[in-house]
Amino acid sequence: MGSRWQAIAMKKRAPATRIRIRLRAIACIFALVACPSEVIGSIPPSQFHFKNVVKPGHASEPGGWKAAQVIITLGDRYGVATCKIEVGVPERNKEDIIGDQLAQQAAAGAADEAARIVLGRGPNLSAVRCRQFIDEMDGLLSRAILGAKVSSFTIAGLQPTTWP
Amino acid sequence: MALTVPSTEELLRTVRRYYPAGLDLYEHEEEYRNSSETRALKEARQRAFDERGQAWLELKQGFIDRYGKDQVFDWTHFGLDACFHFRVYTPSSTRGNNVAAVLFVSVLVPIHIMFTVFERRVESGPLPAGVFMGLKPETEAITHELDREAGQRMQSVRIDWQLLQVAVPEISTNHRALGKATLADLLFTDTWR
Repeated sequence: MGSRWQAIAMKKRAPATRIRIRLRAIACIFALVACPSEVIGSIPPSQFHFKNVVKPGHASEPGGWKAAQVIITLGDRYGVATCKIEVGVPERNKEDIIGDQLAQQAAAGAADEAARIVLGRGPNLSAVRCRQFIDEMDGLLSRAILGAKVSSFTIAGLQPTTWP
Repeated sequence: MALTVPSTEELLRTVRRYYPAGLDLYEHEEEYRNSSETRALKEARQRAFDERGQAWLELKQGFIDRYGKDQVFDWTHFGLDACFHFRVYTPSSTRGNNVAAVLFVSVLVPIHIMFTVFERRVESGPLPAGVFMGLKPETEAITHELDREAGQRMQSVRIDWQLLQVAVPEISTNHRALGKATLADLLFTDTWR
């Protein structure tokens, strides 16, 4: 019985969630269009779904690699650029074991900062904006997590999320 | 027979076989990824793994045995780079103040390069990595070991950083727009750190 009610509640919730996401996206784009000099909205850490792609080796061989892919739309009144970004971090580096939460927070922080930098530069072609965004994010994230890399998509089989 | 460093012309001919000319990766992504050159690059990486992967593991194990498992990190990423990559941290490294000797071995040409990276963290946060291509006293001994072992096990020869500074303006990569790439970016990686 409980699960039936749960199923009904889920069915009701699903369209509402979709509408909320659409409204949020529209609000975000409007906000960016209205205020070109100020970037509003930030990507939540949970948007980065890290998946292990290289297992950390045996105890004698540290390393490992996990990656997340996100399709991020950057917009302002000059235009919208949709960038496919892949974030890779080691499972372990010289300083730390890199848990998913740490990786997510660092990636989201670097993405927000990179978006501010790139949108603050004014109009540009979308391909140029994506290149600049990935370059900036790569620099910021590799400073926060030793060994991290940001690029366009290179790994097949990951499931990209979309933001907003 | 002693290995010799290929000429600049040979190196340029090589990279042109593995990267499409005149295509910006972000503007023409599909065309770039589906090009015969990109396919050739993927095949070269796979071949390197098949043919030299075991030698690479043995080289790495030697350093793990000598310096300890916590000091040696294999950060080879064939999806992104055209090289084997590992770093050996000096025994004097401390938390927030690390010094690494780094070895890159190209998968396109039998050449390798070593450099030193200082990774420092201050109270306000991490500093940008300090990358030095010349010899540094902190890593000199490890660098000589890396050079010797790369030559013996990977059958490669050390190349001078200056030789890699030749521009290849017709090629773009993830982090190099058209007009910005050099032989260093194409034979090894476009993220030097």
